[in-house]
Order: sequence, then structure tokens, then C-alpha cells
Amino acid sequence: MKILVCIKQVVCSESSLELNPNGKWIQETDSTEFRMNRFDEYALEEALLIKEANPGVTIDVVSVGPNRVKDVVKKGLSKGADNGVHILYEESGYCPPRKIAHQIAGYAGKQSYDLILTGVMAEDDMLCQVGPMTASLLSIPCAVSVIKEEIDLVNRMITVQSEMESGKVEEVILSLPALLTIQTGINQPRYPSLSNIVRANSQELIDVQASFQEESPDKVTLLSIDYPAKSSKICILEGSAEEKAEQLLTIFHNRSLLK
Amino acid sequence: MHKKQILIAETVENQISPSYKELLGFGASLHPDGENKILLIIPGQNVEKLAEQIAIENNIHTLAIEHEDLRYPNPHLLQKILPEVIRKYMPSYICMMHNVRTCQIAASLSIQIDAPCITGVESYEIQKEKSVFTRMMFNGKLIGKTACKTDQVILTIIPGAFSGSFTPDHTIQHGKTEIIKINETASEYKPVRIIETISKDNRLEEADVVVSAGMGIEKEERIDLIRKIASIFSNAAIGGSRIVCDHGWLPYACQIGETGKQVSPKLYFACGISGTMQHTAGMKKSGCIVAINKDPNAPIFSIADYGVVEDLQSFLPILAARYDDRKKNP
Ligand SMILES: Cc1cc2nc3c(=O)[nH]c(=O)nc-3n(C[C@H](O)[C@H](O)[C@H](O)COP(=O)(O)OP(=O)(O)OC[C@H]3O[C@@H](n4cnc5c(N)ncnc54)[C@H](O)[C@@H]3O)c2cc1C
Ligand SMILES: Nc1ncnc2c1ncn2[C@@H]1O[C@H](COP(=O)(O)O)[C@@H](O)[C@H]1O
Repeated sequence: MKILVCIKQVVCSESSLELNPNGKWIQETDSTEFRMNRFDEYALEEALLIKEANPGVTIDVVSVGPNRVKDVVKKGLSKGADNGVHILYEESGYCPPRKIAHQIAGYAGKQSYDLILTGVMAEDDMLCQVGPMTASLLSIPCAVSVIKEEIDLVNRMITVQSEMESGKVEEVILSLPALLTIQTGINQPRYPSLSNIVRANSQELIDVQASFQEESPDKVTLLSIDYPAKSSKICILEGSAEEKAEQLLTIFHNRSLLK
Repeated sequence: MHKKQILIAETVENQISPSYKELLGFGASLHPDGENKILLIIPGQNVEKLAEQIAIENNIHTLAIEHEDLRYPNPHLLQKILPEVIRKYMPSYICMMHNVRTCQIAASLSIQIDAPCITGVESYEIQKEKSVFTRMMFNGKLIGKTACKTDQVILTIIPGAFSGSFTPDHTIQHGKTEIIKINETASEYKPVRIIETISKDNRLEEADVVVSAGMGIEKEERIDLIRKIASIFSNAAIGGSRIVCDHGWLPYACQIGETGKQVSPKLYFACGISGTMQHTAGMKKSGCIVAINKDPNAPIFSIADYGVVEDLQSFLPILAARYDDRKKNP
């Protein structure tokens, strides 16, 4: 069985984000830190668990983007993926999900994967679109926000629990090949092992040039990005930490909330 | 020109999600002065009567799409049926309330009918005769404005973002209901059952104060700090962000948000929580929101009443000590 895990490299949102001069995307500098999209860590871990439980499973990881995304592909290898694929997409700035889905589907279509895993959502664009778009392009069934799966390789079926709002979960059976978007909490992502780190450092990535053939022109434009307005009602407490603590206690006291 | 809209409601076991009213309100707001032509699609197992009732109440056209496998939201089956309906009706807008499944419908439709798709819309404006949609990005730290170039666009709308209500226009004739009964079955996608996982423990809902831990606590041990703070209040419970629960630092019964619990205590005390919409969906109706975060640009500050820009590791012990002082020397 062959599994493909789609991994996005995102900027560390813990660091402060600067806008680029035209206000259309964030400014990338040498000190900008990137990491693997949080949801994709869980998608990769799920693939690794499937591999451990079933003989003969291979895992490919793929990322679409400029050369810097090779880092997350290597990270994928160092956690235990077998092959790393980098689809080089040089355009800087924002890349719409439709384009990414076309690239992934274009590559995956030639490789006959039994299972494709993505994260539910990318932390930068927060669109939740690449997974279902890729499934649609490949005409395979898709379940979103998966928090549990069970593969039946004999009958080529996969039973999944797909999360709904307010603690409800729907159980669905899909036939393989299928695409799942993976939600956090489905497992506990591992750290890279030393032997895999060594392997990842020496292993060649599979380099693929982006293809622009199947793509229809993009119809959505990101006009600008900006910081959200602070709430007009907010009161930011000033002073030393002790003074802020006193102010908070007064607020709590005045509302009769303290013991 | 008549701009037509298709709005798609969600049903679970033939119960319509009440948010369809919000969807109608949003639909009406898209063309405040023009004539709106709305078609509300209601998929389900047995929803014809419901569709008729909603058509009459709101004086809009409704379309019931029925199939046994639509007893639960079924993006897979819907995406097979909808393209034809859309081609017939030729709407300018196709709108749904935002959640992961409607994003799935929106994204696959976008490929199938070759129309742009914008998920998680929070507001919109008209700029140079183009609709411009605003949505959260970067875990809520930035907002993006998106426009699209075609006459047809698929949108998912964040719950609670549009308050405009829908006033039925009863001067024209009553809304009509159509029905499509689907025969084909999709063997590649079979809904089985719905499982309720949320605990019936109501402590969170009943507390006056919810002290909530986000990843800003960094380590499991610091849950103790959160417990200590909760203990200064007379009726407090402990909550957490999803990621804190994913790490096993708190049980899932404590998770607040879209996929966890919805709370509206007198005081919500967010400690090291970034404040993405998936979290705030579960607490933004709280009476008073106090947030501690070391990042002055954390999105939680755009909904908080009081903000403290501090490292909680050093700040929470100071808060607890000051409280103890007050107790000793009132
Ligand atoms: C479909 C879907 C459903 C979801 N449902 C939910 C849900 O129900 N509930 C939920 O919570 N999330 C949910 N999420 C996840 C959500 O998008 C966020 O990822 C999550 O809420 C972030 O949790 P957090 O704020 O604890 O962590 P982070 O986003 O990592 O934020 C940590 C914050 O702590 C601050 N911080 C760090 N260190 C310190 C310090 N020492 N002192 C003070 N501040 C510090 C940082 O500045 C940051 O703002 C869902 C996501 C999806 C896609
Ligand atoms: N550039 C990319 N390369 C590889 N996978 C991606 C890329 N962008 C998005 N994905 C996958 O699609 C998921 C959802 O992204 P999005 O639709 O942008 O929210 C992510 O969690 C990834 O698994």
C-alpha cells in the first residue's frame, strides 16, 4: 500500500509577522522561521502508525512551494517517511489552494496512491480547501476532520470518524483509494529518530517541476493582508506586573467573583 | 439585474441547523436594494414538509434534496447533485454556513463548476463594483481581503459574523418548494452513524468564571498555576484550548470552542490562548473576557474586554500572591 502525506511549510506564527511593502503578503527575511503546519504533523504521524501496523506500506511526503520547503520534506523523512517529493513552485507570496491542489493531484495521479492524507487546515491561509479539491480532481472519496481511522486492506475500505461541531462525530466508510484530512488529537506526533535524521540528511529528494497545464486561471485574488483592529472596548492594563495584578483583582472584586 | 443566490442549509436526521436563518440574513444583505432571488436548498432524508414550511414562513423558494444517505450531512453525495442544480439556476452566489463539511462541499464544487471559492468569510464590502471579502489568516494574527473575478462565487460564512436578520417580503407570491429525490447511491462513501462524545458534566456551563489554559502555558506542570488561579474565585471551572487537550494536559471535557463546549460565564479568563475563531466560537458570548498573552498582537485581544500583555509564567504567580496578600490584610 502507498500513502501520500501532503505537508505545508508555514511561518511560525509565534514570531511576529511583518507585512511586505505592498501589503500583499508577509515579509520573508533571513530570520523568518518556518515549521511544519501543525495539522500535517498529525497527518504524517497517522501514516507512520498505519505503516507500523501493516506490512508493505510505503509513505511519500510532498510539499509544494519554493526551495525553502525542502526543509519540511526532510523533516518528514526524519520522522520516518520513505520518500520526499518537492514540487518546485517559485512564485513568491500567496499561492491559492486551487493551484496547490492541481500540483498535488497532477503528481499523485501518476503514482496510484491508495491513501492520501492532508491536514484539516493550513495555519497560514486557514482555508480547509486543498484536501477536498485534490480529492475532487482525482475523483476519489474524501472525509474531512478525521479523528480515527481503521483500514480494511482485504476489502479495500477505510472506516473513519469525522468530527462535527460540539462534540459530535460521524462514522463513515470510504472505499480506497481515498483522501482524508486529519484533525489534531488523532495521535501524538513523534520526534525524529537519530537514525532517520541521518538518513534524511543524505537522501535525495524527488524534485518535480510545477506543471501549469491542467490549471485554469486563478479567479481569486488576495488584495491585501493587515493586522486586525483591536477591539474598541478593550482596556489594556498598564504599569508593572504587580500593578496589573492589583487592577485585575479590583476588576474581579467589583464583579463579586472572588472567594 | 436580478442577482440570484443559492443558499445551502445543513440537516442532521431531518433537523435543520438553526443557523439557516443567519444564512438567509446574509443572503438578503448581499443585495440590500436590488431584488433578491433566493433558493434555499435543504438536503436530508425526509425533508419535503420542512422545506414547504420554511418556504411559506420566509416566502422564499426552497428545494428539498432527498436521499437516505443524506440523513447526515453528506458532502460526497451533495457534490454530485449540486452542479446540475447550479447550472440550471445560475446563481451569482452559492453560500453555506462555515464548518469543515461545508468547506468540503465548497472546495469540491469549486473544482466541478470551475468557480472561485472563499471559505470563512467574516465581512464583505463593495469596492469598485467588485465584492471584497474579509477573512482571518495566520491563526487569526492577520486578516486578508480577497476579491474574485467571476460572476459566480462559492462562500462559507462564519457563524455570528453577520447579524442582519431576514425579513420575509410577503407582498409578492408565496415561496414554492421543489423536490429532487436521488436514486443513485454512492458506494464509495457510506455514512454509518453519529456518535455523541461530549461529556454530560455541566461544571463548565454552570461556573461563573472559566479560567482557560492555552499553549502559552508551555508545560503540563503549569496547569497547576491555572488551578491555583481558579481557586481564588468563588465558582470557577477550568477550560482549555483544543491543543492543550490534544496534549493530554486537560481532558477533552474541558475543551472550549467550535468542536468542544460553548460557554458564556460572567468572566472568561484566557491564559496563553491565541484566540483563533475556532476557539472564540465557544466563548465570545462571555460577560467579560480577560486575556493574558505575551504577544500584544494576539487575536484574542480583538475580542477581550481587558488585556494583560505579560508572560504568564511570571505573571500568574504574582496575581496569586497579591490575592493572598489581600486576604491576609483586607
Ligand atoms: C475544524 C477545527 C476545529 C477546531 N476546534 C477547536 C476548538 O473547539 N477549540 C480550540 O481551542 N481550538 C480548536 N481548533 C484549533 C484552533 O484553530 C487553534 O489551533 C487552537 O485554538 C490554538 O490553541 P492555543 O491558543 O492554545 O495555541 P496557540 O495558537 O499556539 O497559541 C498560544 C498563545 O500563547 C501565547 N503565549 C506563548 N507563551 C506564552 C507565555 N509564556 N505567556 C503568555 N502567553 C504566551 C502566544 O503568544 C499565543 O498567542 C480547531 C481547528 C480546526 C481546524
Ligand atoms: N503547499 C502545500 N504543499 C503540500 N501540501 C499542502 C500545501 N498547502 C496545503 N497543503 C495541504 O492541505 C491542507 C489544507 O490546507 P488549506 O486548504 O490551505 O487550509 C494542509 O494541511 C496540507 O496538508
